[in-house]
Amino acid sequence: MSHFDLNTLRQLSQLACLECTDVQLEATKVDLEKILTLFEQLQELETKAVPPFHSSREGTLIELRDDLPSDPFGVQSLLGNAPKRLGNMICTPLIQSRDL
Amino acid sequence: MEIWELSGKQLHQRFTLGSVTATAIAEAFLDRIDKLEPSIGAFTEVLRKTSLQSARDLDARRLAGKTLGRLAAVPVAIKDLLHVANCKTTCGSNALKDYLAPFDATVIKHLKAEDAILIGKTNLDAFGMGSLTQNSDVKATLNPWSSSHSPGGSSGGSAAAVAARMCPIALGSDTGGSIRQPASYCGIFGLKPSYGRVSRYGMVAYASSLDQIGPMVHSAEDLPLIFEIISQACEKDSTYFAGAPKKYEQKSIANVRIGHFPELTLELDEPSRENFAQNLECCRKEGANLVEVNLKMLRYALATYYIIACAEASTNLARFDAVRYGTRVGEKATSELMSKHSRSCTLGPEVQRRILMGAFVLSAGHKRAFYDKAQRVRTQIATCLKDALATCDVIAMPTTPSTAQALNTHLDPLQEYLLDVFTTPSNLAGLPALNIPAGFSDSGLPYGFQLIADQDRDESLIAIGGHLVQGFERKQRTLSCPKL
Repeated sequence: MSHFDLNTLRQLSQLACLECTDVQLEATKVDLEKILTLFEQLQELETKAVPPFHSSREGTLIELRDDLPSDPFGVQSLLGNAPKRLGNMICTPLIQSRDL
Repeated sequence: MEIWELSGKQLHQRFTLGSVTATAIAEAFLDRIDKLEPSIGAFTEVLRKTSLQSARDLDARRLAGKTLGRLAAVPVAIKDLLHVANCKTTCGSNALKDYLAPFDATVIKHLKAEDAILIGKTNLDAFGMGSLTQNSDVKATLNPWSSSHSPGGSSGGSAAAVAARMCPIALGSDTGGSIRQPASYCGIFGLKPSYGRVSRYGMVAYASSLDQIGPMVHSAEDLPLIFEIISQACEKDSTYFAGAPKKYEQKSIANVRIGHFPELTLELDEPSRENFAQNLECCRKEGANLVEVNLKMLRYALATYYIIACAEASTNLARFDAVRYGTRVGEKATSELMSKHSRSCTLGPEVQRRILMGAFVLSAGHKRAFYDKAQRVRTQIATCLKDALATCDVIAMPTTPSTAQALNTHLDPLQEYLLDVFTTPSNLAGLPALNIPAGFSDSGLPYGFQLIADQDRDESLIAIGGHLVQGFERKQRTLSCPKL
């Protein structure tokens, strides 16, 4: 049974925030199906009584540093990588279309 | 002996004794890079200017009698997903092609504090997603032992740079084998430390519950020091765990209990199986006790790994939205359309595939069957390894199913994932694992031999690996540098 019909793939690309055409999605489908056959191996195992993995250091106390305010990098250094900026602000297109 | 043939330890000793200057060392390695880089493609950026400046400063400090760090005058290459302040961190992806690191990763701070010369940033599969270093948007890297073969991945640039003696030491990162697999393909040492032993502050995350930074070297004598240096304290990574101070106490491998699971070698091609058997026999002749252990659960490691890694990748890479991080492409009416368009234009096919699979295993209706299931199986795999390590000091297994992949053989994504079959278990369990160079095939390609130790037994693992390789060298061709 195929898990990846076109609707599912469209929904996944939406979740993944990717812009994919139907042609691209169809091309990806074969590889995704093959990968899924690998993932399905796990269904052979009975795991109801097994706790999910949490940490390889279960029970180790994590010591957090003191939460003190600081300015480690400087505004200009951090904004230097902004894809688009206006003064000290990061520019984006509208969050929602004006048509809505 | 040429300067570039020396280990990091030898270079440091000669520099501190005054028999060679740091400038001469830096120039020798930069000349080597100039000669070989066009045919190997190991570096995304060579830090020529800053490395020569560091070398000149070191020479002046040595002449002035000032204290020098333990890596003074040793060139070290850095996988290009670790931040070096004011240098690009591309992660091998167009999404970060112009990203300038605003700070040093903790491991870089530690290297700089010990006066290492940072010689360059090395190539990788984009964001560490790949096993061949062919998924980089910057360039493809070739294996120094054979230009028609892959160096492995994703730390293929670091492995190729060390194997070709363009530097004695490099840092890589290992999420499912990305240090050990290329180390095996390139005939060098590669260590994935215990989860948490090395700070990851300043590393671009792929799968946070699996990622580790580790060293890659051509001489075993460099491993203890480089590990000691990069595993120093960090208060900015809450997963960092120093543990008690450890010593390299192992004097030989006499009576060391080496666990092995014969069924595992059925996954190997015939010459690789023979090589592994010979090396195991060599361990026995060197005085180790071979112990059979049950590792049946490991057959589920690959599926478990890829479910968890893809799920974590899909969330970690959400930040590359061309607002917070990432390259913005074109003008779009809304932020959402702009992010989608930019991500699709700048994230490569393998990265997109893993994000899609991650979204799938985390989506309503599939999360319980895949992601939740994988986390339970992960517990079983970790328990299986822990039980085995209760009866032996280290577990031995091959690092890869075969020698380096030929580049003219097309592998589909699943076939490429299968190359990680022996390396993913230790990531899932958070255990330290080491690739040791272990001879050559008839066609002259290196084999690797992997050892896995219990959590935080990294120092013992390094010591045992160092002794073992001496035995391997006595039995087989001496470790050497490819003829380039």
